[in-house]
Amino acid sequence: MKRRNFILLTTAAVVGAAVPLIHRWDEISGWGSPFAQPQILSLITTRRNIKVLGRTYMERFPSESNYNVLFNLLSGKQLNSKLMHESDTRLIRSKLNARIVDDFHNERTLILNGWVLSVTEARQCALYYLLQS
Amino acid sequence: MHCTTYSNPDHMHIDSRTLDSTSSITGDICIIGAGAAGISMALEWIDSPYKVIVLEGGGFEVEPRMQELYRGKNIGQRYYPLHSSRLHYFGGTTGHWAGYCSLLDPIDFKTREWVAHSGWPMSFADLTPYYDRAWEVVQLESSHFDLEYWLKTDPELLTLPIDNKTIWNKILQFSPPTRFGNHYRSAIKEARNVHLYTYANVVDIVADESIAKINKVTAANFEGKKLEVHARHFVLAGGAIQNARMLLAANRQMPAGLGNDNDLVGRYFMEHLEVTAADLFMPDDYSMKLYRTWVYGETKVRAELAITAEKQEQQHLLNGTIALTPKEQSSGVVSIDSFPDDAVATVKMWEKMEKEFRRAKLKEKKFKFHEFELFTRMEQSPNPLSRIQLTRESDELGVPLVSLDWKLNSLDKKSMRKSFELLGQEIGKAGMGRIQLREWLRDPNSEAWSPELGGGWHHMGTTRMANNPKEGVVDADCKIHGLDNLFVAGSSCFTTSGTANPTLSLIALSLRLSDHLKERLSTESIISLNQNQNMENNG
Repeated sequence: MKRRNFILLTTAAVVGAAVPLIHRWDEISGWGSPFAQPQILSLITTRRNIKVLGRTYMERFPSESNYNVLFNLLSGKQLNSKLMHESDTRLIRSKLNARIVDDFHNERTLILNGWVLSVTEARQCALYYLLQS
Repeated sequence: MHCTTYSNPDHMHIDSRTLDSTSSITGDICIIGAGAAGISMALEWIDSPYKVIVLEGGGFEVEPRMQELYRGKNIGQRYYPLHSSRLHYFGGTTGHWAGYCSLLDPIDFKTREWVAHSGWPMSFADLTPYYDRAWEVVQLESSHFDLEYWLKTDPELLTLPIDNKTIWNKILQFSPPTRFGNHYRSAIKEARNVHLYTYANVVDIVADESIAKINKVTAANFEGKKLEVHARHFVLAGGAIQNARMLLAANRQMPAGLGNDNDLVGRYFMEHLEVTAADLFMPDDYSMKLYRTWVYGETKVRAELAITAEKQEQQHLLNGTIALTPKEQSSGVVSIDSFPDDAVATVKMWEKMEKEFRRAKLKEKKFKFHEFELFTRMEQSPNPLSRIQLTRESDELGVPLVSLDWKLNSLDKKSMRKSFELLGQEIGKAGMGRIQLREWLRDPNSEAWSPELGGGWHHMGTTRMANNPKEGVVDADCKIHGLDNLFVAGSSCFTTSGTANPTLSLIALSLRLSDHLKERLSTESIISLNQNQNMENNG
């Protein structure tokens, strides 16, 4: 198998595995995925605002404006594919929240529609926007 | 003249309207203006061996006709009417003061390479002994402005769990507020050596032929009475706008005005940039008693969030503080338009506010909230283009009126935006919630300000302090460069504005000037005595 085909197939497998998980989560919570629920934001503002934030993020970073890119960026190294297959949303949330705090510590932040956000949670907003659109 | 007998407790108050057409008096010190600076100084001289003359333009009540003398034009950044943002009567602008008191910070005095024209010719430590005296003048509960002291007084005072390398808790205390006009009226009027002249508006300052020393000032009133005052030393204490105006208008001998050889008088006008600039949203209530909303006449102390000196240096920011107002306690938009264009009405509004807040005191106290408006009071960078100038119009006494060209610059806007971003990051780090900047603060490339942007009626910088006459109007002793006996008391001497409400600091600075003048008079007396002895010995 050529290297390019291998990468494509692997990516498809990862995304393929993720999509059912996303939909299962959606049925439970309405968020589409724990990856698409910026936890603190979800407690202090409306889903509509989060969607708007997601759209704004993608307008500002068009290279990230698709599921795969966002999903890979959010799942990253810490949240490996093994974890993705686990339906332990609490663990996923906890890892994401830790990364958000880490973002704030390392100035991986941005101002989006006036909100001072971590890059991770901004990407969560974008994923939410995509899943809801 | 009313000054006739020592048995009359009112014997040292003279209503200048009752004087002969032209009168002349002589004293050791002449203080021009009886506001926070002038009265604080005068109090220091009670029962001293010196004769102190205090000239106050108004009487003991706010009067529309007197306020008209303070009318001026705003030609720059939108600002409050000049005739209603300060008061022209005994007690001065303390008549509508809210009572906020805090200290300037050590960094405010330093030369900061990222803040053009920064750096006082004195340090925070030089002012500290005078803060230790000033707090009593404004009836504060304590001389302490350190967080640790206040945390020990009440276990319910909790700090936000944020990194103190970026944000620190700056303590503010609140004066009752002391209305100097009421509180110190008797003390000044009854002092045997302090001669208070009301309705004595200084209309001219006259120097000697070589323009090295002031010979006299002339005061006038609507009744056409003129009072010439001779003194060994003169102190301008009329507020930052009026001090500059008096110097600029004294232009018969020097066309540019007195003390203005380097075209600096009236420049560097500064205000605090006061505006609600962001909102804080938290998922859970947090006890905010330490950051409580100021309640007129009730709140004694609170903290505001401030950017640390280290962070200011690292990020090249101006100083600033952020106050937390629970949304459910917010009084809505407060802006320039919130205040009446009428000083008498403004004073009445404050009196009404006092009554309303006292009624509100009866309501249940609540300190836990989760949504806040973030109100900032930020330093304005010293800007030579931000200035007071004379206009071609004159007031009823013939003194030219002023225009204020209040100008802000990109560092001011950048600092405000970055300060809120830093706070947002700290709140994020703590996992407490998120901050959202208001619309006008979001674009990093925009220099536009919110229409809600106001100030605190904190006029500063128009006779700024610097060792070099080319950089400032007064020296470190508040003496005007090039004039041997003309001094300035008040916030017009501030080189930078810091973030603290200026009243406490301007009083501290005035007390410092007072000590300097006492020392100087004492030295002059010794020199004079020696000269007399030498003459006797030689004769």
